[in-house]
Amino acid sequence: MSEEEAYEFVMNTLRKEAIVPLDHEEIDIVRSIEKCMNCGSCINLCPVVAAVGMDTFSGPRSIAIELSRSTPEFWTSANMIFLCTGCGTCRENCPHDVDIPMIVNLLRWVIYKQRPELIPKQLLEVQNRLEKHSLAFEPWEDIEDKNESRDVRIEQLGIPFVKDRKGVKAEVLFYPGCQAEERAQEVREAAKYILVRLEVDYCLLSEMSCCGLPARLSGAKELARDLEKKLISKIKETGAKKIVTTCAGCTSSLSEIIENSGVNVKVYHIIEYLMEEVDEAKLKLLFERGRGTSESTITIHDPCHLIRHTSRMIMYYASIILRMIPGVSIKPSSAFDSCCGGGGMVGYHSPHVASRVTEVNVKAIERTGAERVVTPCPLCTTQLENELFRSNVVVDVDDFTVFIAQQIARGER
Amino acid sequence: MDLEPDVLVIGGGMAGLVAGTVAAQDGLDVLLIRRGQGSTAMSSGAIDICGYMRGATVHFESPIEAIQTITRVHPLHPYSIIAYDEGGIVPEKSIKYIKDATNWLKKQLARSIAAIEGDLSRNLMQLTQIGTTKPTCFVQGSMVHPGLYDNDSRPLFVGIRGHSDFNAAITANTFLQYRMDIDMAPRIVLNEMIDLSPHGRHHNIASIEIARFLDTEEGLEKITSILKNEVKRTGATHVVLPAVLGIERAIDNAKHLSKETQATVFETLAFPPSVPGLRLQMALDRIFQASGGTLILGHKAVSGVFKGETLVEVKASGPKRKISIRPKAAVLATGKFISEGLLGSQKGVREPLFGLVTVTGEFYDASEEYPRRHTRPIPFTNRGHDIFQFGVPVDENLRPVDYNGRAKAENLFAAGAIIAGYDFSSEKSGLGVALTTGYVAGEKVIRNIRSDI
Repeated sequence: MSEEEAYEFVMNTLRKEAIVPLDHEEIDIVRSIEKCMNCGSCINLCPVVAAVGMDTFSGPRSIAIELSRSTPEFWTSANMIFLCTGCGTCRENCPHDVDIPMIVNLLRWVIYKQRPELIPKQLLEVQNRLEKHSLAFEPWEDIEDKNESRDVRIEQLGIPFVKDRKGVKAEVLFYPGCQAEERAQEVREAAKYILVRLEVDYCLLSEMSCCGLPARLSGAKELARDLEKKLISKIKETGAKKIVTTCAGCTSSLSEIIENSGVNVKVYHIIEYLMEEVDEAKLKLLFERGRGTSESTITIHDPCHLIRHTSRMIMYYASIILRMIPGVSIKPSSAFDSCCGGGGMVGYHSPHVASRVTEVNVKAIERTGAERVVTPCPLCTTQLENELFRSNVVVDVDDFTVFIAQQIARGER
Repeated sequence: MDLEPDVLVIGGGMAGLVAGTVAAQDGLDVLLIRRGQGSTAMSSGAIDICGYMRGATVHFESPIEAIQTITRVHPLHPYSIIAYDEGGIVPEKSIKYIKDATNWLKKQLARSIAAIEGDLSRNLMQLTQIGTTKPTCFVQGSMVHPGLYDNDSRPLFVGIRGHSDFNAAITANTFLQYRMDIDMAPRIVLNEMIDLSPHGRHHNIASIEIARFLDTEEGLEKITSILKNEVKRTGATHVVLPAVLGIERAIDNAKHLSKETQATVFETLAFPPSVPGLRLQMALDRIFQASGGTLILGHKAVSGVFKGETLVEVKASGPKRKISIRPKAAVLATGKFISEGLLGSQKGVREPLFGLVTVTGEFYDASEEYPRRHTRPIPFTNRGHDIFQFGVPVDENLRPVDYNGRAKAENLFAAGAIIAGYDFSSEKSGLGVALTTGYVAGEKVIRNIRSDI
C-alpha cells in the first residue's frame, strides 16, 4: 500500500466511524477546554441562561465539560449548541480563558459535517445564500427598488446622498457588511457621508462580498474559508491600507482574517477611525455647526462583537465621541453590555429565545427614560428595534453611524 | 489614542477596586483594567478579616485579637507590614488601618445591593451551605441569623427542587451533628423541599436563576406564600435558605420574608462562585464607577516599561487590539494563580507582568521553587498549603521590592493576593487583607501623586 492509499484508507475509516479530524488551530481550541475548572462563573453571567434557564440552554460550562465531549451522539448537544448567541461573556469572564465561542463554532461544524440534518434549516438557507451570492441576505431583484428604498430611508433621516466610489484606488476601503449593503442601507450611506465630510480618501468594493462570519457561526467552516479568501483578494485589489467598517461583527471577523492572512491592512470600526485617524478638532467643528438644532437624551448599547470580540476600548471611544455632540446627554443603561440576543445566528432559527434575551435590554432601556438607543451595530439595531416595538416601548433606535451623520448633516444645512 | 490617567489599577477584585475608589474619591483620574470578572465574585460574599492563626484549631474571638497576635508573631504578614513605624511594628497602627478601611467600606456599601453588617469586636460564626460554621467578620444583610444557636431555636432548612447546590436534609443533619458535638443542639431541626421553578420546570436550576427569579415580584410572592405556610405548619424560628435570595433585592427580600413569616429568613454562606460574591463584586464595580473611575474590562496587562526607578508605561491587550497606558502611578492587584497574577510551573513561580521578585511564605526566593512541593496531599488541614503564601514581597509603603529590599519603582504599589506572606485559606483572611491593603495602597498612591513618598 502506498502512502497515499494508506492515508485514504485511514480517512475512510474515520468517515465510517463518524470522526472528523481537527486541524492544529482546532486542537488548540479543544486544549483550551481542558483548562475549564468547572467553577461555573460563566453560568452566573450567560445572557441565554438568564433568559431561558439552564434547563433549556445548559450554559457555557456545560458546553465545555459535557456537550463538547458527546461525540458522536450529536443529537444530545445539537438542540443546545445552536442556542449560544456567541456573545463571548463566558470567555471574557473565564478565569482560564476557555474559548467557548470558538468551541461552539467548532461543534457546529462537526455536527454539520456528520449530521447535517441536525442543523436548523434556517441556517442552511443562509449558507445557500452565501454560496450563491456571497451575501448573508438575499440581494434585491431590482436595483431600482433597492435605490428607492435607500432614498426613502436617508431622506427620512435627513442624511444627504453621496455617490458611491467604486473601482478606484484609495487609502481607505469602506466595508459596510452584508446587512448595511442589502438591508440597513442608511448605515452604509451615513458612513459614506461622514467620510466625505471628513475628506477621507475612500473607496468601496466593486462588488460586496461577505466576510464569512455567518458561515462560520452556522457551522460551514469550508464555506467561511472560501468567503474569507475571496474577500482578501478583493481587498488586495483595492490597494487600501485601512479598512473601515460600520458593522460590529465585521470588525471582529475582519480583524481576525486580516491578521491570519498576513495582509498589511489595518481594520477599524468607524468609531476607532474617528478617534484615532481623524483630527478631534475637525470632528468637533462639524458637530458644533449643528449646535442648537437638536437635543437628545440617549442611552448606549454595546455590541458583543465590538466589546468582547474586538476591544472594550471601542465603546469607551464611542462614549467620548457622543459626548462631543452638543445637546446630547447620555443615560447609562444597566444592561449596556448585555447581549442583544440576535447574535450567533440564534435570531434566525430560534427567535423566541433571542427575544427573551433582548427583553433584559428592553427593560433596562425603558428604565433609563432615554429617547433613543444608539448602538454601532446594524444587527443590534434591528434586534432592539423589533423588541422595543413588540413591547410597546417608545424609544427610537439609531445606528451609531447614522446618529453621527445626522448631527453632521444638521450643521450643513 | 494615548491613555494617561493619574492612576492605573491592574486587576479589579476587592483590592484593586478599593484602591481605585479611594484614589478616585480623592479627585484623581483612575483607570482600572481587568481581564474579566474580579475574583471577589468568586468569594462567598462575606468579608473575613482574620478567623484563625495558621495551624491553630481554635478560631479567634475577634479580628482585633487576631491582629494583636499576628502582628507579634508574623512580622512579614501584610497586616504587620502596614503597621511598620520608625522601624518597629505598632499593632495599633494596623488595627487603625483595618478600622478605617472597614468603616469606609461599610459606608460605601450602605445603600448598595451588598450592604454589610458586623464589627471588628467579634467574629461571627456564620452557617455554611453544608451545615458547618465559619468565622467571618462582616456579612451581607441577607445572611444575618441572630438567635440561630440559641437552645430554643427551631431552624427549618429549605431546599429548592431541582437546585443541586443545596441539599436541605444533609445540611440540617450536619448542622445538628455539629451542635450536638458541643452540647448546644436545638431540640428540633427541620428540613423541607419546596418548588420554585423559575422557568416553569423543576430540574437543572442554577442558584443564579433562583436569585433572578426572586428579584421579580412574581418570584417574591411565590416564595413568600410558600414559606409563610411552612413556618406556620412547623413553627420554625429560622428559615435557612441557600444563597439565592436575589441579586438586586436580596437584603430587602430577606427583610420582607422575615417580616411576613415571623421567622428569621437568611442565606447560608455558599461555595464559590456564589450569588452573594457576585453581588459584592457588582456593588464594588458600581461604587468605583460612581466615584468617577473608568473600568475597562477584557484587557490583560502584558508588559511594563520602567525608566530608572519609575514605571512609565503599561501595555495591555484585548481580544483583537493592544493599548498603551502611561500612568503617573500604578497599583498591582492581579491576585495569585487563578487570576494569573502569579504563574507557577515546574521551573518555579514568577510574576509575569513586571518580572517582580517572588518569595515563599518563609520569604525564600520562589523563582525556582516547584509549586507542587509546597502543597499537601490532604486538601483541608489547619496548616493550609504553603503555596498560598507565595507572592511578591513589599516594603512598608506596599511597593514591591527587589532582591536588595528596595522598591522596584517609586510609583508602583501592590494590593491583595499578589502580596506574599499570608494564607487566605487557612487564616480566613482573604477579603480582609484585600480590603486593607487596597485601602492603604489607595492612600499611598494619593500621597505619591500629590506629594512624594
